[in-house]
Amino acid sequence: MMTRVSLKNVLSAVINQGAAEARAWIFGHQLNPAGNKTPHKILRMKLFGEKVAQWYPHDIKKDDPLVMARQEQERLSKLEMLKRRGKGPPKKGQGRRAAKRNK
Amino acid sequence: MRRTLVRNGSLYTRNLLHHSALALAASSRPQFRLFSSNENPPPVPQIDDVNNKELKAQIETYFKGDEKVLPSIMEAILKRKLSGNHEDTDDELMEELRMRPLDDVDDRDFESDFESIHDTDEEIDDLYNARDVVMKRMVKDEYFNMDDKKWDDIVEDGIKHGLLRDTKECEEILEDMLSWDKLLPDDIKQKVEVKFNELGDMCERGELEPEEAYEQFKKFEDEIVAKYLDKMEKEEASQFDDTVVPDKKKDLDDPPGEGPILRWQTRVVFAPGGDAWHPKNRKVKLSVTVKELGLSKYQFRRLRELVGKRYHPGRDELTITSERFEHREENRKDCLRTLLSLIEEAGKANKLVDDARSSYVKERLHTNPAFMERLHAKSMRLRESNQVPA
Repeated sequence: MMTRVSLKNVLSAVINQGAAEARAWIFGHQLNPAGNKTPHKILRMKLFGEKVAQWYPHDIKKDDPLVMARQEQERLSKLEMLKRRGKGPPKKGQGRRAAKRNK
Repeated sequence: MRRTLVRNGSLYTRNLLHHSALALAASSRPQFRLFSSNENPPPVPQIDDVNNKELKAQIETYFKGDEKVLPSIMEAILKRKLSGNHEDTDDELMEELRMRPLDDVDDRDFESDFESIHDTDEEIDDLYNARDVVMKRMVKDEYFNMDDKKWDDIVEDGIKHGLLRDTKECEEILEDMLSWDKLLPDDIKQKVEVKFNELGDMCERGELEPEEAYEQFKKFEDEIVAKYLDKMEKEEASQFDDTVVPDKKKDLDDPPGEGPILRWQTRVVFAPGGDAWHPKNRKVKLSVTVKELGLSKYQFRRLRELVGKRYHPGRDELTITSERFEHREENRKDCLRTLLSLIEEAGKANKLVDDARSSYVKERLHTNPAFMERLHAKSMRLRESNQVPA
């Protein structure tokens, strides 16, 4: 015995046929009926890298190669003096972190 | 005495000059005619000359007290001047008269002359009492020291007593008098000017007398005014005809109902800088009354399924919002595109319903054994009938 399906129910069901896909197409949604993880959340974001970069003001020293060269020279000189006094950076494998690992 | 002599002399001299001018005109005309008739002109008649003795006698009489001799003296002087025979003697006489002082001068003449020429108001004896003087004058003369209030009272009295019946007509007449040169159109003015110049030229050439020219001009002016009045009457009649015609405009492109179908809501932020862009200006909201879209029952249900919470059942209002793009106009386009897509998608419901109903009916018939048996038999008979001609 098959159960009779009424015409009203059939029509009600058919009206909503394909509504989800149509809604997604019209409003620009991303269909994900299974709830899987997708990168859509990140892709639909606006590009905000430039906005973040604007947080710090522009340093005009970086535009002058002479100034940057002099700073680099000073850094190297300071490093040389530290090494001479035995206060330079440690070699690989002899730092605090490496020693901790061995324990 | 010298001033009186000069004044009276100038008066009489004007009259004499006028008469002499007429005489000259009268004499010049026959000369002109004689020239036209090719005859020799006769010699100019000589003017009677006055002797020194006669002139001296007249002057003595005047100085003795007889002022009635003055015109004859002036005539004598003019005659001697015109003859040109006594220039030296007259110059000497003038020098003599200038050097001679005058004893008896009547002040009454000066005073009468002055008063007749320059009329002054009544003299106020006590200037410290000016207020009382002004009040007395206001009591005597109703129109003394007029102001707006008094004028309004007078006009009101006139209207009450019926003297001023139609003030609007009076105002119109006054306005016409104020701008009288704008009453007539330019073409009529030009016509009148041309006629006036023509008549003036004819007068100057001597073809017409001034009186006759004036009569012709007056007649022409009356004709022009009559034509203008007829023209105005015709124009008024045409105006009435225009107003009588009823206004029948049946092809109106204005849709029925109140208010627009699409209702837009946007925000405009007035920033102090020159650039008008502001993030708050981006968002656009579009509202539509769903009844206006003319959807069927099934289409309406599909629309509700599509839009979800965007539809407000109480107000029958569908609201679409967009802030996808950076500029407001782009977002407005996006809203419109969305609305049209929704209408199109909702319109598919009718076709889906028809197809579903057809498939339902077919399925019901398929499950009916009696119908299937009769269908099978009919198809077999059709098959046999088809095989016979083959």
